[in-house]
Amino acid sequence: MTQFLSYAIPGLPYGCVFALMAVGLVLTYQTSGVFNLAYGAQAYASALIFYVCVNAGWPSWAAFLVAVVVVAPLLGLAMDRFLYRFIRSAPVLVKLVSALGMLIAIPSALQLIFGNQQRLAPPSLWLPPSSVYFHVAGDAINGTELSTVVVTLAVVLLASLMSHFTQIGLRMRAMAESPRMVQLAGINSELVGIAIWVLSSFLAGLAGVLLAPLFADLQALNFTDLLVAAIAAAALGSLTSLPLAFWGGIGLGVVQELLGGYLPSGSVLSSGLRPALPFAVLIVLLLTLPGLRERWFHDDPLAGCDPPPPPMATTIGGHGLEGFLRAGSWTVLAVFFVSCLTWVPGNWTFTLTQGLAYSIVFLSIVLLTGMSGQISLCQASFAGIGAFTCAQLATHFGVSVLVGIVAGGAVAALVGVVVALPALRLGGLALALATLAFGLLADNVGFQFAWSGNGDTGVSIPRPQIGSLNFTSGKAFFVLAFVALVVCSVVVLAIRKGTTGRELAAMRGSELAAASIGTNLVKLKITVFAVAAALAGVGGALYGSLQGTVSPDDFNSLLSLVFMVVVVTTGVYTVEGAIQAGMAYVILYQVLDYLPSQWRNLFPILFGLGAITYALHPEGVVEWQRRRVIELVVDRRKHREAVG
Amino acid sequence: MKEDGGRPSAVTASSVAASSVAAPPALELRGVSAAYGRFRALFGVSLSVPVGSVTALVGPNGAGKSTIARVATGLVPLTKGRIFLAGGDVTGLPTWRLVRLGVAHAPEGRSVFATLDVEDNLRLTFMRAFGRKGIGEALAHAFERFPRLADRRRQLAGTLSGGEQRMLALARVLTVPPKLLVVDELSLGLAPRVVDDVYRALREIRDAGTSLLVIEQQLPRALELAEQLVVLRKGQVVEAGPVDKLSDLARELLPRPPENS
Amino acid sequence: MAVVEACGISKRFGGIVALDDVSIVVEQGEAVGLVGPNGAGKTALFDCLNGVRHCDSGEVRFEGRLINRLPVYERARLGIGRTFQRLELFAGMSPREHLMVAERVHRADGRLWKDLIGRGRARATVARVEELLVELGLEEVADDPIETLSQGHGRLVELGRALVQDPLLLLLDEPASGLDTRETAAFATILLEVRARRTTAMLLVEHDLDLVRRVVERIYVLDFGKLIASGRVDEVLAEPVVRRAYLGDVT
Ligand SMILES: Nc1ncnc2c1ncn2[C@@H]1O[C@H](COP(=O)(O)OP(=O)(O)OP(=O)(O)O)[C@@H](O)[C@H]1O
Ligand SMILES: [Mg+2]
Repeated sequence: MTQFLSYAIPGLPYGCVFALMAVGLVLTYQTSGVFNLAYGAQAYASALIFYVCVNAGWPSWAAFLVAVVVVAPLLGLAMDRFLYRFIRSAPVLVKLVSALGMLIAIPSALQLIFGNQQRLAPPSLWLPPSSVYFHVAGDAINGTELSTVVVTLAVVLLASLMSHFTQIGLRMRAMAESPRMVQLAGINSELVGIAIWVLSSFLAGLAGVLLAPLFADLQALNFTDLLVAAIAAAALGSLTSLPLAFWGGIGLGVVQELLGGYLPSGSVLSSGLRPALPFAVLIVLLLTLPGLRERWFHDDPLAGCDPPPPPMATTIGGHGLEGFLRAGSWTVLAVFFVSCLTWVPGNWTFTLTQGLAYSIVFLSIVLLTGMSGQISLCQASFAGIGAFTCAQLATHFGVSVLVGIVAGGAVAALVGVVVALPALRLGGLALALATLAFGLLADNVGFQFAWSGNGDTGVSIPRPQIGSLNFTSGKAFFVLAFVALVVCSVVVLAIRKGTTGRELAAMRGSELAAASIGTNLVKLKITVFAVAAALAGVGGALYGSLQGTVSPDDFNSLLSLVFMVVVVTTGVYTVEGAIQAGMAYVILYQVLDYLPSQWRNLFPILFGLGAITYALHPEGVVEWQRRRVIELVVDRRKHREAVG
Repeated sequence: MKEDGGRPSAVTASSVAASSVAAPPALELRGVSAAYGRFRALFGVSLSVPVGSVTALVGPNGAGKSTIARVATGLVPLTKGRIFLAGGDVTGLPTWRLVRLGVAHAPEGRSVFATLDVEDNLRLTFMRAFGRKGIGEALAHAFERFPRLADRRRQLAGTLSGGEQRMLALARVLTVPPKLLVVDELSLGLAPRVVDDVYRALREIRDAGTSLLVIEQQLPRALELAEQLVVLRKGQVVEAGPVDKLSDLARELLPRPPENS
Repeated sequence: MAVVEACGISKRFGGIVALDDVSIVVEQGEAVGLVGPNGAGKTALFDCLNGVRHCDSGEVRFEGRLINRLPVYERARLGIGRTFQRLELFAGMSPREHLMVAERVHRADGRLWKDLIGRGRARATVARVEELLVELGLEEVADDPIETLSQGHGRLVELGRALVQDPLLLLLDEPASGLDTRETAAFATILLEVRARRTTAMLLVEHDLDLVRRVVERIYVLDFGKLIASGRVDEVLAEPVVRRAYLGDVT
């Protein structure tokens, strides 16, 4: 018993950390409908400012005032004004992607401002970490731990009381569903909306400053990792119950320490199981909790007040415009192909070939998200599976690389089927979270073995070579990638045009109605997941073969999130969108390479901005611009007809 | 948490001045146009709802009836024209300001907060109007009017049956008699018996001084209650006036009950 | 033979008894009404019949076959079509596409490989679809996005989507709510034509009793989850229990 306690007690402060984050997540989700994946990033912002202020010699109360009481709420205010107020009753995907954009942009923006040197030993807010306050079951409780527990308890209590027993709490909960209906109750919904984000951001800031001393150094990544545990805790409360989220967090912290204590140290089990625990818990919870599904879908009863989504640009033109556009894109394609084979310098050919490989991966997002309305946040992991399969087959079994690439797609498809299983029961946000957990699991565990991604060392993939056909040169490989992209695009187009595509569109519109006309949703989802995973796998394997060696870091799950943001901002509904996204992605990267190093951070910040354009124009930047041009042309033509 | 003392008594100084001449209409639209994106829905609509009377808005599907209701309560912005409330210009005011000026709107269909329970749905509206003290009484009043809801007070509104959701939406606006009540698709999805109850309630609040703008598909029922009729077609008013003085043209346009064969 | 036969269906939601030992039968090609006050359990019964929810106890037989545990899509393929009280339309698709996808699913040629070799490619028009669009009066709006259509048109699209599959049993959940008097009359004509063909049985939930009287041959009345009356329309609607529970006391 005492041994049990001596393992369990140190888990409590960690549990409180999880709980604090979880409660913030739930509160934000419940009131804004945004599952705020940027919560960790916001916490990091305050922690960083606190660190900087204290290191500049400020007293810690002043630093606290600035970091948590001033900057954090201001950040919330800014996010509300520039982003979230536009999407208050938007679908799950839009809200999720906006949060993703923030998750990527905020840490980079901070590094741009404060520089990215290492920051060791973050200062503690309140009670000094070195002094021991008392002992429980033989454990010394130090200042950091004590203050974490006390503040967490206070915050959870206040937040629960506020949410359920006050008017403002009720109004905030109502906001998640329909700001217009809130207005019909005579309430200024904009003020409530601001209050939500200011409060949420304040809690994030508070958590950040409190948690920072638990880490050896201050890094955005630490906070993001914490988030998974917090999500798991929140899932325990069906993402809506504050008390359950709190207990979930505590439980997770304690179990994690218990595992550390009881499992033989140094074994694969303890090194693999402990870090994997939150992901595993999250996946299991998502799969088993019945309450999760029903609540996650509610649409604004007054959605009819919004204009209908604009028609696709190609449909409004008529009169030859469409043909003109199509001819234009064919020309661009031909010019692009010929140029790459002739005058484009080698390093740019390499970059553009990368773009082709990425385009194939992005096609999977078009298929899955654009065409079927499913949100997967692990497409980079599927790409990784494809690449590592190909590498292992080629180096250890002497399989030809071309065959390896196809096999990579096949293995990814198999794994895709397994991941699709949750998709059968879940939809929307739950699926997104489950895939996110899967991706992180792959990062932290799956790709670390010698037989898969081989940890930090990585694995090598040669360029393909069959008999006299030799793809080792840059130009030859470009042709190969180009052909692969064309084949994959044709597959996606065929699916879209065929019956499956129509069924997918129907499913995206209404699962209930799709089932009621006889669509087998289970089969459909499995199929589409498998095909998408295969596409990602092929793209990943091609990418690997182009690079020569790849390591798990090339396919980490943060990248999955980046992919998602890139594709949806460029255009998630069309095959062209995927290709444009792939090209834009690598070209931007290459261009930024010419800039001084601290400006590299601009890249992620651009994604953040991308998320904002997405919030306003879910059809994607390209489609939006094209429609504007066509509308101009059509309007002018009409005008001329009217005059003449 | 009571906010600026219930409903204000007058809109603006100008409306008070105007009322000394002849009572200005409770609601007046002048040359209102509105659009959803590039899709235009209303073309220069003018109409007025006299104080303390019932105006019915009729017309075929897609004529823009709901749009008028939304424009009148600020949910859809207008592209042209002006809106007056008891003589005061309220064009462009946000919905919540209009509500505080005494307008209530029961939108069509499932207009409830699905993730809140029945009581919280009502609380949200009543708290502002009645404050902490009056809320118990207001709730009791609402449940008395719709006993069905009383059995369901802790159920999430999203799991109510279609008709129960409709009752909840109506309970919100019928319990606090507003100055102007806009009801869209009044009896949609309600059982005949409940429709009777609702009409009785509408008469009550009309007699208590509320002006009503009602959109109703069941024309015979609407004609029983309404004093004025506005006939709408393709986003334009084709005919407006007292119910008993409608021109033949309007009668022609009105949907007729089927000849029972 | 009975198309659908439900025996002793019960369904509870937490403490609420939505359906309590309800039994109904619909014969082939027959039009039957189902009425009752709000919250009586009509939609819940539909959900149990087409598989959106599984009943807690009782049996659902379709053409004599026990289908209690079949999922929604299999029941649809057996021939149960349905419209929804709260419109369930495919966002972003036009009325024509709604009918097309239903028609294709009905013909069950949705194999992925067929798409890949280009066999599954949709023809631009299908005679049956065009016919139905005209019949329902949707030809003018056939290519508009569904979001821009009125609720009445949405109801018609739902009806068309179900009819194009030639169901043996059609469950209609308040199909005429949101339609004005004239549109309702046209709607009734369509339902009467369906009835005249005698291949599709209908179960109609509707609060507009004129429509019910015109279309159906007999009705069931539900109240608080219990069947309180059944039989010929006029007789049933004249029964005191029904008047009290549903119509209100018109003294
Ligand atoms: N998920 C649920 N949880 C709790 N109660 C529910 C749930 N779904 C339905 N109910 C209740 O079951 C009862 C029957 O609902 P149902 O939708 O079948 O009514 P209905 O007869 O279709 O009514 P209406 O004419 O208003 O459409 C209602 O009282 C409703 O509140
Ligand atoms: Mg119903």
